[in-house]
Amino acid sequence: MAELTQIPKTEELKNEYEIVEEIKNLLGSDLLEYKVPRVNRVWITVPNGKHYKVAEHLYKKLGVWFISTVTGLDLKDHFEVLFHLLDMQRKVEITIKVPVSKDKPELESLTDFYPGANLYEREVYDMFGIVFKGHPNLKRLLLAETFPKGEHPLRKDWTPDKWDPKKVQLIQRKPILPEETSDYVLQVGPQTPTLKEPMNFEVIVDGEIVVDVIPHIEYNHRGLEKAFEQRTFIQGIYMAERVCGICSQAHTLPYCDAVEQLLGVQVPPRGKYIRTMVTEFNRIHSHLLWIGVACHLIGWDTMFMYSWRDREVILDLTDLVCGSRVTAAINTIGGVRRDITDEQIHKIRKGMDILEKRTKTYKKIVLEEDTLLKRAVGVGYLNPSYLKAMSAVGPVIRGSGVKTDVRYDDPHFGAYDEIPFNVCTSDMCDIAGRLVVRVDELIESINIVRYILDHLPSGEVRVKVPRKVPPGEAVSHNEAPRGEVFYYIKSNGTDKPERVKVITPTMANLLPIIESCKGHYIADFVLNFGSIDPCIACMCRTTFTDISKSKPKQWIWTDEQMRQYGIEWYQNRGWRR
Amino acid sequence: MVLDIFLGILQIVLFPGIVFCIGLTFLLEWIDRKYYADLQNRMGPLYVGWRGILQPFADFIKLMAKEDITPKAADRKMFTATPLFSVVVPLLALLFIPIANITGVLSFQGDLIFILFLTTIVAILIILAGYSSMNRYSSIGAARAGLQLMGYEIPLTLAALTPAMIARSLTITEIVQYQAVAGMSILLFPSMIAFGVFIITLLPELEKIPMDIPEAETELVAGWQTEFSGKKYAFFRLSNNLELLLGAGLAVTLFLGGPYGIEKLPGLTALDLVIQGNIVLSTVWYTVWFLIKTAIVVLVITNLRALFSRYRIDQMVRGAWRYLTPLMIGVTAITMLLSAVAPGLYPVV
Repeated sequence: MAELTQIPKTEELKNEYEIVEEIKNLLGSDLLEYKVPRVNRVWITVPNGKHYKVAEHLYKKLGVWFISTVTGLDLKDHFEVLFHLLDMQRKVEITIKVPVSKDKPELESLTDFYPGANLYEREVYDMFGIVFKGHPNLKRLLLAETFPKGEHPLRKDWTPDKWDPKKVQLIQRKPILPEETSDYVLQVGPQTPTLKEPMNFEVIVDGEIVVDVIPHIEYNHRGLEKAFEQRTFIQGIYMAERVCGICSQAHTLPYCDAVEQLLGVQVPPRGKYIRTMVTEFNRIHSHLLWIGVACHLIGWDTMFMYSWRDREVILDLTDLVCGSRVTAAINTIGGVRRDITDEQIHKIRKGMDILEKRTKTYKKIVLEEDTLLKRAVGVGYLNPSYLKAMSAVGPVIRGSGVKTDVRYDDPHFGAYDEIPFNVCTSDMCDIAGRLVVRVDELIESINIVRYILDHLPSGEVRVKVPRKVPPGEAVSHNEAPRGEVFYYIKSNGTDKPERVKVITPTMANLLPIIESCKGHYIADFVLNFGSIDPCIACMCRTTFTDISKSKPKQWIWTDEQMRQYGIEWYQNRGWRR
Repeated sequence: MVLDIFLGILQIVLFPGIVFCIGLTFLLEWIDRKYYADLQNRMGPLYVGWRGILQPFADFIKLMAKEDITPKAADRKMFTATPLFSVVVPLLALLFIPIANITGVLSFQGDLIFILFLTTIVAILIILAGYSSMNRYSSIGAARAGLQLMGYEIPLTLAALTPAMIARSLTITEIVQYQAVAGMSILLFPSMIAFGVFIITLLPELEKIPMDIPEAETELVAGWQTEFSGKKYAFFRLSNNLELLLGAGLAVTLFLGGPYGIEKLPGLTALDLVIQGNIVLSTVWYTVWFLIKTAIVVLVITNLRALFSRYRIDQMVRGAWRYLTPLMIGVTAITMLLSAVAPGLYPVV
């Protein structure tokens, strides 16, 4: 970190210093501190109260419209709130730090300029008890409504035993509708065939038309951010992997990248390329899964079966390269764990050929199948300017024609600055647009993988790194299959992080998608939420123990043997295939 | 006299009545599931019996043994009665379908109208079942079932009446016999369009996939069936299978020449005489041909089920009123016109 901060004002850092100059001119002596640790990063510290002015300036004059997230920090003597903004024109991630006193934890909300900060600020309030003045709906988000008042678990003085189960009052949710109305409240979730993950929506319907949707996402809080603080940086990789099973690679990549920024190490080019390739594998597998689930949601199970069958190809390739089908576990701090061989490259090329052929067929089907288009075209309309205001991410915002992609806007987390690729967009602004974007991205990902195989540099795949990380802070993000995944890591000189902040794309897309459901049919509600994927991890290798003999015999099957066994088992019953 | 009554009861209870029909529905469900699985690159039922042929029966037995829960808020009487009636009504209608003989077990003048009436009763039972369970998903499902009924009822009836108009009779036996002389009515001009419409309108009647809107799994959990479990759910499943048999059987009877096989083709008169001379042979012969034809209709329905995604309720009703109903009114008018203008086209038998 230390040596990186000494990068002089070169042509390379022109955009970064331009922003710093702008804010210097605006605030004068009120700008407490600033630093430009590397390209694409600007950190500024302003006193409480001035951040509103800075955000206004950034939003109105510099055209910064995207907020990644809001982070809370407990620094023993005071709190700190960090607003992470992304300037897409200049490709700079700007972090505004605001110190907040512990006696009066209050500051102005930025929802006036960034309505998308709504849920992020609620999360900070939930975890730290910091009050955002002017926030439209400040209440708990991730924790249940029954959690005792005044308890905020990410404060450093809070421990689980402080939480007394007897203090929990079971609050009955108030009926949200008056007695005399013909409207219904339809409960979708936490357990329903539509959503495979625990999440509850109170859908107010008038006959078949959705009037309003109230989301409750407090069912699945696992305390991961707290758990990160109790584990070493190496263990943290495996925690990050389990934030989401499907996007496992998408989470470990920014985590490792942020830790590498703190350590000041550079990943060898070959390692970077392999990381990027596995990230694209991840995207292919997630998008194929999504297409299947979306078709299942509108009752087209045939397409579901076909796309999940073809997803096996990419899962096998992930298994081949990483050793596991779903959780890739290939990233480590300083590079990747395994190299790839020429034989593997050959197999990957073959797999990509199959996938390209199938994907093109799917594209044709998706664009021509009438019953599918009837359900997708013109449904769930989302205005691009509204999505920009709400800071939506991923295929949702690209499906409305806004060209944003972290791989393009801040390409240094992987090898994306060296790889040519298109950012796929669609101007249909509806479910069909999101579908088209995802199918296009599949083809684009296949091309990226091919480019990587053609231009794979030789050399080492990882560098050795020390266990202890020098104090500092870093942010990194990645374009996961569903949108931006954002990591903020603060280290304190030990082998454990001081704070890890994770933000996932569903949070950013939740409010816009709810908005798009209003006024549509119940039937369209489920497809609109189609991007919430289930994760099904399978075992690829099995250990057998034969206990019938006096000496238990153990043997291990490879997946080839297991597949052969499966094929033979069916053939013995008179079944082909 | 006593023997006649005994034989009649045997016909109603055993063959080709209740027991045979229920057995046949399990077979058709197996064919449906197996073919659907094959289209989707799956295996389908595999364990019970030869290639899983007994799986539908095993499912039925298993459901009969499951716990049967009646919600507190439900209308108890209606909640218990609807599953029973929804099995009885299609079974009653099936007795009019000629399966093992050229006439059904029961038959009277104008029985086609009675069968069409019974199919509507089944749909109304579904609406009652949904409302009686006092569940939000069920209520929405029942409302959708009612809306669907409005959509498909008229085209379905008109499509079923087209071959009747060609045969100039509302009696099923006479329509079948007419086809034995004049050929399958699917081969006659406006009737082939009616056959297409009949198959399409069977999909909402049977709640098969492009039109399974009232029970749409991903939207309404199980729609109007949500609260039914155990025996009652088993009965509804059986009822749906019986309806599949009834619908396919009706299509066979009205459009595909009923249980007649190849013996009515010119040049096979000798075969025809042999079959008609022997009662055992004719029963087997007709049953097998009925089975083959029904299976073909079921396969067509399964194919449609695998091909499409679910319509939305408004799209379905709009489609039915905008396209199917005017089309069927046109077909009816053309049939009437042709039989008046060109009497030679549909020979009088």
